[in-house]
Amino acid sequence: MQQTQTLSSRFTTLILHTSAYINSRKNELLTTHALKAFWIVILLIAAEIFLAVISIPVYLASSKASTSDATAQYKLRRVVTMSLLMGLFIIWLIKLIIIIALSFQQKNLSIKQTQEASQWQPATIQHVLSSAPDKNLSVPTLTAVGERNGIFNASGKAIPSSWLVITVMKDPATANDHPKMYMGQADAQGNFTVSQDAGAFDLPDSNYLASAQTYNTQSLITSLASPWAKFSTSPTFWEQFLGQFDRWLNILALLVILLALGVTVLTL
Amino acid sequence: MSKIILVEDEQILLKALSIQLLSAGFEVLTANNGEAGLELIKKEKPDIVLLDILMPKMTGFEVLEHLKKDEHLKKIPVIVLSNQGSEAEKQKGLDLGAADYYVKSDTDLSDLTNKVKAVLEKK
Repeated sequence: MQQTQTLSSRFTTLILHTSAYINSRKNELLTTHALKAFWIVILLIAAEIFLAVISIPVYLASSKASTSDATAQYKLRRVVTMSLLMGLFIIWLIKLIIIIALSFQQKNLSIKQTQEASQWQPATIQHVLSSAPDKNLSVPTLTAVGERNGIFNASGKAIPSSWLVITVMKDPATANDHPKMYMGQADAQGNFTVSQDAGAFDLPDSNYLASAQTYNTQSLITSLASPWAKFSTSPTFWEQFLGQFDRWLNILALLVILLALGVTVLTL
Repeated sequence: MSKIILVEDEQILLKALSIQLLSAGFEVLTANNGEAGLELIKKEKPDIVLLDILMPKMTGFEVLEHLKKDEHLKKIPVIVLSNQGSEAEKQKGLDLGAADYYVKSDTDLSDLTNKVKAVLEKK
């Protein structure tokens, strides 16, 4: 039985030209030197793969007894495949945007003066470091404190080149909760950023208060504490929403793949 | 319906060209090497032959030589469709009696189909 499906002339010409290209590269391979031969081999592999892909409709068109059904089925499969690839690409693009957006987000961060600073000396620090704070030592200013990508950091302004102690307490704290302390040094302009070292203790999801003190490394005496800064390591609404959204994206991607497979199998 | 014999060793081209020619309204018979192609031509006596050159068992030039020697077959128009694009090869094909010589890399199939129709109308 004669096959009467049509393939567009341009499409068949493309197959012809690709085949001709492959032949000419093969001939060239016979007479070329090693370095160029390597490049020609790469081109040949790519061309062969390309020819295999674009010639799929030819095999579909010539393998079925029916005339229009095969073409329609091929078109359906092609639409399904391309839609699947495009859908997956869009899903992964959205996920990439989410990942990038989340990486820039720093939880936090409000500076709140809950009490007079002098009344709120972190007792643990005084116990460890000195008997009484030095009221003459300049109190640093916390301008930002929070967590980014699981790493705590605090920054602000202090005496140039001075050492600082950042105390972090859970809010509200229980008897089992102990303050965590971070140390750092201001630069020559008095700016400081104190970050948690890699591998140091984590801050579980919760609300926290942070305070900074200048620390005199000679006398081992600290200044009065800065006003408590409130921050949270709990996922924000958007983080929770985006986390759920990411999960739904994965489920959607899986459904798209299953749908495409199902359509392909049903149309075999 | 005009009968074409297509002699081409590359399977995908054989299929693609067959479908193209079928859709143009021809009856198409195929062979994938020179020897089988010659046998088919002798048996079917087509209206026109599309012939590749570089093929196993017998090249297109050898097929042309056989056709030229046969009184019954030498009048069948042959269009060569080859990867060999040198002037020497083209001339050789035309000297052996080919009606036309197309280089695959330079050929648009719609032109080829029109050429086939034009050759058949001249007959």
